[in-house]
Amino acid sequence: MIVTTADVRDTKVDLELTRLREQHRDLVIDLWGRQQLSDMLFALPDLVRRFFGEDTMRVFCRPLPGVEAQAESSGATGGRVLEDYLAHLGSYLSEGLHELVALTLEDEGGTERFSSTELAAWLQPGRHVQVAGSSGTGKSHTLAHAALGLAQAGWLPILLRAGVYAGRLEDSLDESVAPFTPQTADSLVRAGRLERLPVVLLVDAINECPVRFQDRLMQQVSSWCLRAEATVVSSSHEFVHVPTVISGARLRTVDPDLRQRAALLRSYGVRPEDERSVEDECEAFSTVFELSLAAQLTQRLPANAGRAALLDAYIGEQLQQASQPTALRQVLHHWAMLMDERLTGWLPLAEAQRSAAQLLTTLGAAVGVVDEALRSPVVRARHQRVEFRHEWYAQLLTAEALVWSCTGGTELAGELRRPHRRKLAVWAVPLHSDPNVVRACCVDSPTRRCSSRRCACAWGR
Amino acid sequence: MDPMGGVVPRGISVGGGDDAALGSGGVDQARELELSPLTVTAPLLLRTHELSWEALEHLVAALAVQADHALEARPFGRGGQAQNGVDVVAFFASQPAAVYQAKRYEKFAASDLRRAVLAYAGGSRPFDAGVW
Repeated sequence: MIVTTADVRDTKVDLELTRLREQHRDLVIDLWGRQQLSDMLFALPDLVRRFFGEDTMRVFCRPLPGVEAQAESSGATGGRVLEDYLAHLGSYLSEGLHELVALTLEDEGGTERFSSTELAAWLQPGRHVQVAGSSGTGKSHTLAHAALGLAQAGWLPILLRAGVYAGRLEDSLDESVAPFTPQTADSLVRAGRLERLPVVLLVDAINECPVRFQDRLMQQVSSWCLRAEATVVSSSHEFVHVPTVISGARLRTVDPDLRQRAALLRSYGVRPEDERSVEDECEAFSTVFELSLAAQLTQRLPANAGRAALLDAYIGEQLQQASQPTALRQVLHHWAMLMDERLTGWLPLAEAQRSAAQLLTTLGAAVGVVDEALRSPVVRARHQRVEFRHEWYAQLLTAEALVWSCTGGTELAGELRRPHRRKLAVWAVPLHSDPNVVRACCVDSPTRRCSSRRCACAWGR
Repeated sequence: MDPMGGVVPRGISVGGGDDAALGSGGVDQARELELSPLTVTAPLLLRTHELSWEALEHLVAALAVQADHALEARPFGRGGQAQNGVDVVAFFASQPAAVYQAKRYEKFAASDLRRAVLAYAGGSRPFDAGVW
């Protein structure tokens, strides 16, 4: 094969090639010139990118970007793209999503209240809203249901988990829509606007976004929403400062009242005749998340269980079916500690798998436990990331890992005094049996109180 | 011509003096035509002559794998070694090896073709390649 960069379109070259083929019948002689190379490379964009650069690839291998994008986002093509996206998003959100029990949302001034089930219907284009509430009060659950309701009501929802934001909103948005469409988020929005679908960006758990990125995230959300003419629904522990263009209603979650607690327990399978006894067991719990776990552990909860004991019991029950529950728990500890050290709520999937396999080898446990850990109900593996399904799982498992690894109370107290671990003391204290450790932990934080009403530690009294 | 030497993709457009001649209705019509081209041709040719000779060899090896479906392809020898008209050799599962000679030329004439064939056919024919 003779390959040349030059143009070989020449009658003399063609005639010479024919003559040489006749002369050397034992060889198959071919000639590739510029035209032949170009024709072959048209279908090989990766090679064009490698040898000629990204810009050339875009123009040469995708010759009609403007027209193509226009076609993709218009008419039947755009409509199909949207239908596919909404269908895939809908099935993803619905899978394993517990029913939405009506809870109360209250405006910041406490003057207006409405049901969380009405959030989607209440929303209008341009009516931005922030939902604030402590951990476990059902914000993410409410936003997932709102996204579903809005999709059914003719909106184009994009659900962004703020924890994955790492400085570039476009990247995070593309990642958010990637499982449901081959389009970028911007292409999807263009298609939505052509179809006259109002766009809504649901930014879930801003508190899980690294603190140093939070302002930047909201600035970028604001700019993006101006360009996309999108409405923003966000959730966080506390109301966050947002640019004026996306400021709007500020709603706070309210702890469920007796009627709502009963409805919640019933939704998790508690029979009417058991309601009273279960409610007694759940007296210490005030948040939706606690009640949902307690409802699944009826009559199996330790006496006087507080929040830490509740989660400990729930995780323990979930891991019971594993081939090596202790090893699996150590893998979860390992992942929780890695996240804790990096101040993030997730790990790259490949790294999580690799580091867990190394740990299991060191422990002499089967490497297959890694897969069991990834399938465990307390963990979610998606978008090439591993994260805990609730921040409390991460906190409890980090605290437990510290309790297991520290040789004495002083060492544990030292670990818990580190600024980013202040939230962990309330989990670590009930897990530890040594009252000296409790005292050591409390010395540094006399004003903090254990959040569990039944916790035996000094903070709870 | 576009920067790569190909034809610039363009729709039907009416520009400059034609706009003036058409009046405002003509401008609108021209804009509409520009937005809805009847024929848009992609650039046809890459600027292959701008590749370095090393890049060309690597490109040929990559094409041997991706276009000719070779199991393996690699540059043959290093500078200063007798190569007998072979720059890249490719190996296949069910056919003899193929050899490639890469020529980074601005112009390629019949005499260049003749010389290139002779360099292999008249030499020791390494790899005893059937395709060349």
